[in-house]
Amino acid sequence: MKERLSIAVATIALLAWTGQAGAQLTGEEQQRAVSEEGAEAIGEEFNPGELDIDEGKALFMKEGPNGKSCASCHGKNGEDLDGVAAKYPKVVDNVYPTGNTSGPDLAHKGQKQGEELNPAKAIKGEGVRTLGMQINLCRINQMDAEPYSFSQKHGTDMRYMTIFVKSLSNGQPLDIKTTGKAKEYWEKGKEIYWIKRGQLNFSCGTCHVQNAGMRIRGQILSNVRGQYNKFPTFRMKKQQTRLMHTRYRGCNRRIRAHDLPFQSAGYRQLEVYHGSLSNGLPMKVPGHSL
Amino acid sequence: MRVTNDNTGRRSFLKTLGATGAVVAAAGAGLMKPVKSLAANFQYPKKAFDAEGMDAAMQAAMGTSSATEGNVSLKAPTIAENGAVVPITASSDLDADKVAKFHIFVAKNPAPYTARFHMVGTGRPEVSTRIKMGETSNIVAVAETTDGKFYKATKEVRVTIGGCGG
Amino acid sequence: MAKTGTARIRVGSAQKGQPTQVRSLILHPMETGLRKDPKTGEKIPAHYIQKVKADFNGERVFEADWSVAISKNPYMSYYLAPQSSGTLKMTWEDNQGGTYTAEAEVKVG
Repeated sequence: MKERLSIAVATIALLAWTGQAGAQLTGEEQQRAVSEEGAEAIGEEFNPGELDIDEGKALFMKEGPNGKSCASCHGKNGEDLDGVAAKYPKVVDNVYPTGNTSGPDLAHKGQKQGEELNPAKAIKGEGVRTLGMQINLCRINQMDAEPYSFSQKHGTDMRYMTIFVKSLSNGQPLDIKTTGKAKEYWEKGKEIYWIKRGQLNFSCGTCHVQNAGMRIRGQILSNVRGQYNKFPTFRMKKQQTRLMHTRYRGCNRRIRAHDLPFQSAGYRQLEVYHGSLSNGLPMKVPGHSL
Repeated sequence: MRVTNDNTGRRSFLKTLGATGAVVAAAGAGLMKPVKSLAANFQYPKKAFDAEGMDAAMQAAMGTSSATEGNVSLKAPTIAENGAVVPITASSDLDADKVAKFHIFVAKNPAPYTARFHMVGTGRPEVSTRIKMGETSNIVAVAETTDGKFYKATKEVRVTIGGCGG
Repeated sequence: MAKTGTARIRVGSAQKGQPTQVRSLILHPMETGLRKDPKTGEKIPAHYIQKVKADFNGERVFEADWSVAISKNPYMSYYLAPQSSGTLKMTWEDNQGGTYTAEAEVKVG
């Protein structure tokens, strides 16, 4: 009897923590559950971000200058890529071999919004390769095509393509490698995650681990586990899908810390750690958020 | 035109004169015999959508600003973190063939009348959409029946300012 | 995002005469006409869907009138109680003369 009671209490506590047991909560907790319910209703009923999957699919089939399209190698509808996106980002020996070593380090397309690593310029040596980088490598090396921009503002095609390729792994568990070569980068990412910074002196963990489920003004802080597997996500406020690095940059700005460029080494390492905290959860791209 | 759905029963066919209130009143007085629905095309209620203030909006939309509480459910989040996209669901426990329309109002919006749904032949009086709210306000869902009666449900939705999501 | 007017309809599994849920989404700015362009300071002209029609096998089953207060990229769901299999066609008409359509096949099990 005592055992059953404690299991019941633990279950309710767990459900309360995940905001699902609306009926069993009271007062403040109920309010939290209800507003999350509202967001869930939006996401489950019909996520407008899903239309980006179709956009990405069209790009996938579009031929490059040498007559090849992504579909030429990876299957008419991308079938061969099932499960592939679930393993990104990965640590490789040669991060970004584009065959092009000249050009500016950062492509400044104007103010903070467009700051990104030059998508044409190679990054040599061991490091973290993201899915976006892999997409560009295929474009440059296999299709003789121009690389896509990595930024939120200018990289619409990259965003559509990323969403499409990731959606091919929907339902599969996220499986980012953190051992062997990857361990060192995971540790670096962990440091970035937990170091306090900015005028508000917060770390990522301050909000998304230590205060997950609590309110910050009107919004509820999401738990770190369950974040990465749904990016790129559809943001209701922006009525647009948003990249992971867009969010990293946004979070940093909100706590009044410096943000890094899209695809910077720091964010790539952060992806290894941050992403791995959602390992095992099914991919669900695009997700939805307020 | 044959109606495929046997559940719709009879429908008042609103002539496109914009005199919604008069027509409904006439139907209520038994002057207009309900006919089977044809291709509908109800006239867009522009004036009603422009009306300011709850009473004026309801008058323009329904011909009256009073409705009986009950028989209607309105589902909406208690707290909306994003006033631009507030999901709502209006439903009624009345028979499907008795519910002609749903009217949605957001009391504190500059023009409260938000939407009108014609349940021509749907089989279940329930409709959902997402609306814009300028500030914390009551949302009122009104079900209009085929015999000209109005039933309502009200829910306050609190619109908060953003947090760290930006 | 994809362009204005892209629309999708999803219909739940249908049994003869039983109501099944229809979910629709259309990409549209739903501009109220009150917003100012942050760069120019000019009012952005109103551009919003006013009328939505749903026809099943050519007959009207549902119709909606929308004001500017319906959210951007409007979502709407309603029910359909089909007596037979067929095609559900939805039409959205906006205040600038735009007309958009989408269809879904409904199979009655």
